[in-house]
Amino acid sequence: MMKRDYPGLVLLALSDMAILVALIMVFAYAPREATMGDVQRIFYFHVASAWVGFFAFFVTFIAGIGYLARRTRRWDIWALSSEEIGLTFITMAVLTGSLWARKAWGTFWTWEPRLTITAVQLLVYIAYGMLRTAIVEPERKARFAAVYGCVAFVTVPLSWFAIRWWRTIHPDIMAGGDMAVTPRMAHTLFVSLGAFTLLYFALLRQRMRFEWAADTLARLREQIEGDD
Amino acid sequence: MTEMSLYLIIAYAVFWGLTFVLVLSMWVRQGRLEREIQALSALLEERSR
Repeated sequence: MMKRDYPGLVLLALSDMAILVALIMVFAYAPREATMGDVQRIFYFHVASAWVGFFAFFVTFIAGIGYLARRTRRWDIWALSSEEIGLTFITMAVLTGSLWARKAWGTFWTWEPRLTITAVQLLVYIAYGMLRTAIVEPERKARFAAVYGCVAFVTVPLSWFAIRWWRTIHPDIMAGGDMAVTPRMAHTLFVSLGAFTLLYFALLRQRMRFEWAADTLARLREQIEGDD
Repeated sequence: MTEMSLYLIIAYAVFWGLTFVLVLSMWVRQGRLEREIQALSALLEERSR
C-alpha cells in the first residue's frame, strides 16, 4: 500500500481554495465589461489556462534538457507529467477561447496567427504522447521524448509573440488594446493566474507519484519473472 | 437565458469538465497500479516464505 501523500493533499486543498476565491472574484468582484458584457468573464480562466499550458511546456523543455544532461528517470518523469497537464490546459484555453471568439469576432474559429500556432501546438504535443507510446525501450523512449519536448517548445514563444509580430485580431492584454483592464479586473486575473499555478503544481505532484508507482510495479514484475 | 450567459456557463463547464477528467483518469490509473503492486508484493512475500 502506498503511503498517504499529506503534502500533496495539502497542496491540492490549497489550490482548490485558491480556485474558489478566483471564481468568487470572477463573478462577484470583477466589474462587468462595458463592450462584451458577462461573456468577458471567460477571459480570467482562459488566460490562466493558457499560462499554465505554456508554463507546463516550459517545465517539459527544462526537464528534457535535464534528462539529456543527466540521463536520470527523475527528469523524464518531470517532462512527461508536465506535458500531460500542459496539454489539458491548452485544450481548455482553446475551447474557452473559441466561446469568447464567438461573441467578440462572430465566429468560433478563425485562422489568424495566434490561433493557427495554437492548433499546431496542440497537435505537436498530442504527438509527444504518441511518440512515447510508440517506443518500447525505456532509455530510448526517454531520450527521444526529451529531444522532441525541447524542439516542441518552439511553439510556446511563437504563440506568445504571434500577436506582436504579425497582424492579428487576438487581443494583447499586455499592450492594452480593445479591452480596458480596470484594477479590479487585473486583481482578478492575477488571483486566477496564482490559483491555476497552484493547481498545476498539485496535479504535477500527483501525476509524478503515479509514474513512480508505475516504476515500482515494473520492478516487482521483473523480480517475479526473474524468480520464475 | 441569454446567448452570452450560455457561453459563459459552457466555458466554465469546460474548465471543470476537463479538470475532472484529468483528476479522475489519474485517480483510476493510480488505483489500478496500487492494486497490482499490492498483489505482486503479496505474491513475492508468499514465495519468500
